[in-house]
Amino acid sequence: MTARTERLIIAFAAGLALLGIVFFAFSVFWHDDGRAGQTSSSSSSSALIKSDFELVDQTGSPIADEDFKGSWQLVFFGFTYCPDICPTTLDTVSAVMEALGSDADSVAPLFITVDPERDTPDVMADYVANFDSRIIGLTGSPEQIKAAAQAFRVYYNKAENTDAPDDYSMDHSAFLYLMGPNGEYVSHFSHNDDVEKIVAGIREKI
Amino acid sequence: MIRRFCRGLMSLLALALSTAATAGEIKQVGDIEVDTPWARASVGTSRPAAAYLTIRNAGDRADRLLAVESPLAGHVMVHASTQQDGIMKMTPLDVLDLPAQGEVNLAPGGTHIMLMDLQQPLEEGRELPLRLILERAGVIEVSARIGSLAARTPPD
Repeated sequence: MTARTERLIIAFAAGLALLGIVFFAFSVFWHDDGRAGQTSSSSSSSALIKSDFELVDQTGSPIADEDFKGSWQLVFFGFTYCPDICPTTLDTVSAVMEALGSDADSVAPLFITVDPERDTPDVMADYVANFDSRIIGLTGSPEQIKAAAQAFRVYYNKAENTDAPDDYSMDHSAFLYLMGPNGEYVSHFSHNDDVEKIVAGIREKI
Repeated sequence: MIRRFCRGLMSLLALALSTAATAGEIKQVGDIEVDTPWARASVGTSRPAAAYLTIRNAGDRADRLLAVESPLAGHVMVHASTQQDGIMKMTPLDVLDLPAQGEVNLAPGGTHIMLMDLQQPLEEGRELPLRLILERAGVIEVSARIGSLAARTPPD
């Protein structure tokens, strides 16, 4: 083998290795970026999550994040057409509020719909009436909901049902966000975390 | 008028059915056992409701749940709630496999029976008649007890 071919092979191998490193770094970065705000609680992605919304509550009154300044917010997204997960989550939040006792006075539980088409303030009122009376049901125009979901880095998507167009479902992030007195991200919980875990997590922060 | 009469008749029929079927607990047909069917109360008739139960197949051959019907719902589907990367999805299941010597548990946060086009609101304390149509075992009629809308476990 000549020195020239040897150099060529070494250069080729080095190039390949460099390409591999770049590809690896890119895939890790891309992967993390795709999940940012969904499962990661690292400081870089959590800084992106903030409580920022202009919506209407279940009585039809306009309500915005500024109305909760100084208060902690327990925020979760869902929709009333969901018969399984959403009532379970609302029940969890009701139990959390009860278990918090007097600590609950500084926590505002906010249920934001991802289905503004069907969830009018009247529908939200009927729905939240079945749970803890402190839970505030929020809806708005599709644009307002989109903006609120973006602020919380919440994903939602209409899952069409070709057999029954009116019976569409909504895929959505099912996290409970604990937001601080300035609307900043503090912590999050999974919708299937038990009440004790969520209560302990909130007490640790507030 | 006729429509109202029909609706009234259907409600009566539903009531008769619900009282005729054994309330809750276990219903056995052949190798198949249906344990503690229950449902959640609905918000009026415009929102779907969910029902849950456990099906045991004591037989040596697998069976399949092909469909669920109810006189109180125009459209009934079996849905699976799944979670991936924190995103919840509901996926309709065409059939529900019931493995031999196996048990399938429909419970909040997982697989559930979704009842749409409700003919009347599902009220807490009442009963919801369900017809389970199985490939091998045939039709099994059960009566699901209705708990509160926030219920997470079967009503007492």
